[in-house]
Amino acid sequence: LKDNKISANSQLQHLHAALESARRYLPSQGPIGVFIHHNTLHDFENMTFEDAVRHVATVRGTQPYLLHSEYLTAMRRGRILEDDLAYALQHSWHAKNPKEQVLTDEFTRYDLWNTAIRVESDGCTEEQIEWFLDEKQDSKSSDLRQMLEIVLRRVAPFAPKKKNQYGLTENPKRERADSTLIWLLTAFFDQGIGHWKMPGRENGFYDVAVNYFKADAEWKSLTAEQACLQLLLEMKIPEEDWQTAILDTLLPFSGWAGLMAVLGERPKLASVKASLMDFLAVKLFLDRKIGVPREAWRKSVPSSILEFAWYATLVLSKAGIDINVLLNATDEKWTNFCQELEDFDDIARRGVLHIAYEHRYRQMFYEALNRKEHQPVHNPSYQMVFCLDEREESFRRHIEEKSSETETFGIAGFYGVDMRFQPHDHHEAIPLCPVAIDPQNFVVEKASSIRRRDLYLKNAQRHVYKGTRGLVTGQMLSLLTGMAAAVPMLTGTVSLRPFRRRVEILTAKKPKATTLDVGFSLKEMVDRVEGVLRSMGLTKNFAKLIFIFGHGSTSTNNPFQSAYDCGACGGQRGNHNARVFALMANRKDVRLLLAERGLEIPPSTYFIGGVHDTCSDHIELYDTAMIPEEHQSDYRKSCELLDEACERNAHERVRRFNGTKNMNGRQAKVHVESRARSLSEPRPEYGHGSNAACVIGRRSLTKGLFLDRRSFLTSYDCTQDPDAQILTDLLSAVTPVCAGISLEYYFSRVDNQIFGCGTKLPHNVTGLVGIMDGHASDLRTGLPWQTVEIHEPMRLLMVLEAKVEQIELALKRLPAVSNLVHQGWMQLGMIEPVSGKIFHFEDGAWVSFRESTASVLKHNKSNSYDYYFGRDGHLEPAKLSIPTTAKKSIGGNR
Amino acid sequence: MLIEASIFDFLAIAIGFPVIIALILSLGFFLGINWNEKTIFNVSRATVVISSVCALIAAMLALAFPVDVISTAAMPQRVHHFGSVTFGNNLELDLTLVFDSFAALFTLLGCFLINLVGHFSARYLHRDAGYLRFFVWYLLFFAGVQTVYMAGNGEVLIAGWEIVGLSSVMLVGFFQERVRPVRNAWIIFCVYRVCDAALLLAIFLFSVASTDAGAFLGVHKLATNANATLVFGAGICLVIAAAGKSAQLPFSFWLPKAMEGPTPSSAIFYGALAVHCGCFLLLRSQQWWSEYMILRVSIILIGLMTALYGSFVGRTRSDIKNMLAYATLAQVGLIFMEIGFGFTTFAVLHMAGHTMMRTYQLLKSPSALREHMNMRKGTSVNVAPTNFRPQAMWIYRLSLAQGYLDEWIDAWLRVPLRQASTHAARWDTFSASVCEQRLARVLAFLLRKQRACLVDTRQKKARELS
Repeated sequence: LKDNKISANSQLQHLHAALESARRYLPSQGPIGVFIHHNTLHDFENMTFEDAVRHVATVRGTQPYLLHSEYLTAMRRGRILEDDLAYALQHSWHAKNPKEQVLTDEFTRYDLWNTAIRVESDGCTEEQIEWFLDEKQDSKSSDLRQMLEIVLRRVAPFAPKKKNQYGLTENPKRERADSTLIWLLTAFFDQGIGHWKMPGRENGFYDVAVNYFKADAEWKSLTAEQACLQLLLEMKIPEEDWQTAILDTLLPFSGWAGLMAVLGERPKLASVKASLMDFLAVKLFLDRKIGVPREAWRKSVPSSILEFAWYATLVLSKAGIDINVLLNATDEKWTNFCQELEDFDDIARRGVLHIAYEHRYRQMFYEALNRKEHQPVHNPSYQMVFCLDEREESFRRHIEEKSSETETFGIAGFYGVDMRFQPHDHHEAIPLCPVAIDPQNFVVEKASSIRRRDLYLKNAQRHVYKGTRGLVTGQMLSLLTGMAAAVPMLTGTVSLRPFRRRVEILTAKKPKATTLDVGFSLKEMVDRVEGVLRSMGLTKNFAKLIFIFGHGSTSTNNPFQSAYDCGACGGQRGNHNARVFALMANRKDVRLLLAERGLEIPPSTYFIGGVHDTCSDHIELYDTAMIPEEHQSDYRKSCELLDEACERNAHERVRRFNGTKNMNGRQAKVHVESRARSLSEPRPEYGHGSNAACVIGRRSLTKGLFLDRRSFLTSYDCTQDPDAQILTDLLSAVTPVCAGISLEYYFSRVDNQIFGCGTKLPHNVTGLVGIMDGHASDLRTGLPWQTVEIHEPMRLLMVLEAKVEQIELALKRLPAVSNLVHQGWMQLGMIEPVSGKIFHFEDGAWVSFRESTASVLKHNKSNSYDYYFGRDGHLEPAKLSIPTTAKKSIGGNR
Repeated sequence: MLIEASIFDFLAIAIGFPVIIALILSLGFFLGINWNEKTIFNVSRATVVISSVCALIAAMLALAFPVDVISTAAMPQRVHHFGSVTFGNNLELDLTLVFDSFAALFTLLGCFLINLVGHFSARYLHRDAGYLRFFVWYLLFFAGVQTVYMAGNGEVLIAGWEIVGLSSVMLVGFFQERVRPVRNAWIIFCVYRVCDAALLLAIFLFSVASTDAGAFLGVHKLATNANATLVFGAGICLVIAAAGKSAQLPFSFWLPKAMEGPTPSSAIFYGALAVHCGCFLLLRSQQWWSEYMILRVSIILIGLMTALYGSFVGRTRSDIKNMLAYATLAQVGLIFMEIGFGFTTFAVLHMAGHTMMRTYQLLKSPSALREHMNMRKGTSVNVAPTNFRPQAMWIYRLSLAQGYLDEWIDAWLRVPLRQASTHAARWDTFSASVCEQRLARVLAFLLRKQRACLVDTRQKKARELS
């Protein structure tokens, strides 16, 4: 009996271990109401990037990189140059010898690889090859045919015999059971769409399901893990195969299973008692109930020799190898060749191309930064602080172009204010800070007066919301008010501009005057203000007005709205953080204590908090009534500056959208506003779709660069940071956010079906926790196609302006960041602060940047408008020669 | 008479124009023209606008020039016979349209919604591979639904009815690369075929019962000498057809499954126009079936059951599109009841209001999340799910399982049908082989005979010659 107990215990342990290891393959995305960008393959960060993507590709059948054809298109467009290919090949040999002969004396491994990366390898099925052989009758194809015959004969004994196939075969029984499971899951997770709360869901999913299926008392008495164990034993699966068995069970429902796991680990995110073990037990139970035999997710199927031979033929013919040489090659040589081609498989080829793809952008980026003169502002009239978000890059550039006396800064958009914020119309406090921090301080917003009318309106709205679903209420409502739905439908879809302007003026809501109850002690406030100012390097040279801008994004009919908001504020708008920071920094007692700590803010300096809407390019400023008299004229001038910058920014943004040619600034502004408001717009903005790089350094270094909204910009002055403490803090806060965004976009773009959530068009919001495709499907995680379609998937290129010692010190203190860098999940560059030389971190060493020999177009444009106007796609980074005064306003006719 | 003719000319344009444009667009595609988005959208927008304007002019003309018959209604019924197409000796298809306030109301409502959804989709589907496909089916649907609204006799009605069905099915299966949408589209196609067959049968029975086919859609009063049994039979078929098209029990399972296409198509088809076609048919033909108490009671019962079904199952749905689908079911069930009770005006207003409201709700279904968050602000009304009384657990379970309707249909309809078809196929092959043998034998016999004849004649001739 004791032995039994011990073995049962060890089996349980084994089960937990197997589940834990299977869990790594599941997405870990929480409810989408608060969208947190994270590395999709977070659990594989201990592997190198290449190994991780290959590993997941072989287990789940995902795409590791862009498709081969996409890289070839990039080559044709000049996005990848020969230089880059040479670089990429050189960095992909590892221990191999490029000069080794593979088939003939002249044909080396280098030749093979160099040819193979240029021959498209996706999408050639046997049928297509046969079609080609049957249909094409010109001389070129007859040569190919002849060669194929030879290759096919010689290659046949050595070609790979097996390949992997992913997914389950169709089975009506299982699909019926799956639908039932989906209904159970949606009801179980529901946070408020359904009318009834699922009874008994507080006991966990296993309990719910066992009751639902009216299972025998035997099953009811078991816990989920006991049930799992029993089911696995019943299926007679040996213990070492448990992980595979669990993975086969969970992968068809990876989205739901992932949500179970996430909510089990972080129960605060939603009010359900979730656990992955419960889900596994239910799935295994259901599989047993319907009696469908277990099926592997990954199956080894015979691979086609014809396909292999065809690809080999294409490569050989592209390499220009003579048929006679092929005929004369020995069997040994052919074995060698086949082995070589099998090793340098599709994934490896795309891996090489990917390195080349990243290399091109890196070269352009470094080239723009190389020998860049610092352009400091000596006597700034305004200082404006923005979130480090790459979408603010253009906004900052336009402000600086318009007014050369304005200095801008970038910092993580929660401004060091980690708080729980309670809006005046909300009864619970929401955390506004990066997800890693658990905020302890409360800030409460209080409305000076509550309008009764608002309350009535809101209640009426709620009754309608619920009523239309009811039977009799629905009947009454559709009879009485149904026709009225035409009005919001019209205004939300058709842009009736003059009409709407009038309506807006009539119904314009005055921003409610609210006051904040700031729950920070004096010392806490001083700490936060000091931390932020020192981190940005803003310790002297204060301007009279300093603007602090949070950012957020307004969009309608968009379940992913939170993904466009501020990542540093935990997927929320950053307006309150900016406002609270400005309030803190304006306090006299705070400044007194700051002066004691050696950070003297002159009394003539005033902070104003605000928010920039990245979708509608609208600026809102807070507490403007409190601005002292002496600052009023400056303030009014700054408002004009901001309005102009909004228009210019909108104008730069709309070039990526459809039907926006020949717009002027004003029209562009109206256009982006309509995008924010339209019901029918699946692309209100492109979000972080353009992210590629991150610069941590002084703004004077990046000022005057056109970075095309592709670079996160963080202000950091290495000369004020002798012990690298600020850099350490910065990296620990910035890296997870930026690398998370970059990698989430990477994976959602390269495999939009598995890592991303496909097209938005049939999406169906489910239980307020996620989305399904249409009627019923697995829960879709990741980003939709409409957000990532313009994205160039690359690992984040982070450039630090600091000394080597500082960087190495900081990395040593931050093992997580250091791991990301060393395992190649992001690229790291360095700008030597004194000499301005650029180094790239490569295979554990700093390599000095050399300008590529390939000629990069030299632009001689004086401002952003001249540079981007009339051009499509992503633009290469460039130095702009900023004139001292802004010459013209955009589009002329204003 | 001139006014009369011009009203119907406008209506004919309103129906015919979208069909022609859809055909041109798809023909162009097959000939290798790569229509770009802008052309597709501008062409279909212009088409829909022109055809809506035609319908509007027709309606205004009809209002401005009342028919000679003294009538209290604002827009009394006008009927126009365009002519007939004759096939062979005895198959003659009439083309008749009817236009009255009822048809006008729904035509204009349809025009409004179709225009709006077209505008919506132009942006929503931007850069989707199926842009052309979507707009071709959208145009055809527009023509089909207008045909249903204005049909004056069975032949015209069935044409519109089929087009509506086909375009709905094609847009449910819009995402052809995934299995589920295609399978669900197939299920809907099957249901639609059942109602098509029922409608055809109804028309057939009706035309056998009474020589006056116009009475089918209420154009004339039914002649008193009609065969009551056959008319009753036609009524039963009609109820089946209407119930199927409007997803009433036992056909209710298809409506939620239809939520597979892009959001705007789900909105216009299943929240709005297509799902109300059955109600429309019942209202149109009310004059003759309302004589039969059994039919009225069965319509009321079907409606009542569906309303309860939709309401209960809807309460357990926690994804926005399915929840709206069941809410729609419940309301359409109520409309059926209203029609059964004979509250015509009430039913018409209910239909119109519900169409509008549901389209809006489905169009903005992606904002469910944001809406709910805004709704939760403040405190006084609770929008969170209500707790369920554990005593009535069976109701919850039954509702969550959608009343086991799918299983039920499977066991009682799909499986027996499939078995029957297998048997039939077997019988077919068997009988075919028997027939072949027989035929072969007959042919051989004939051939032998003929040869014998030939030989005979030759011998005869030879004899004569000699």
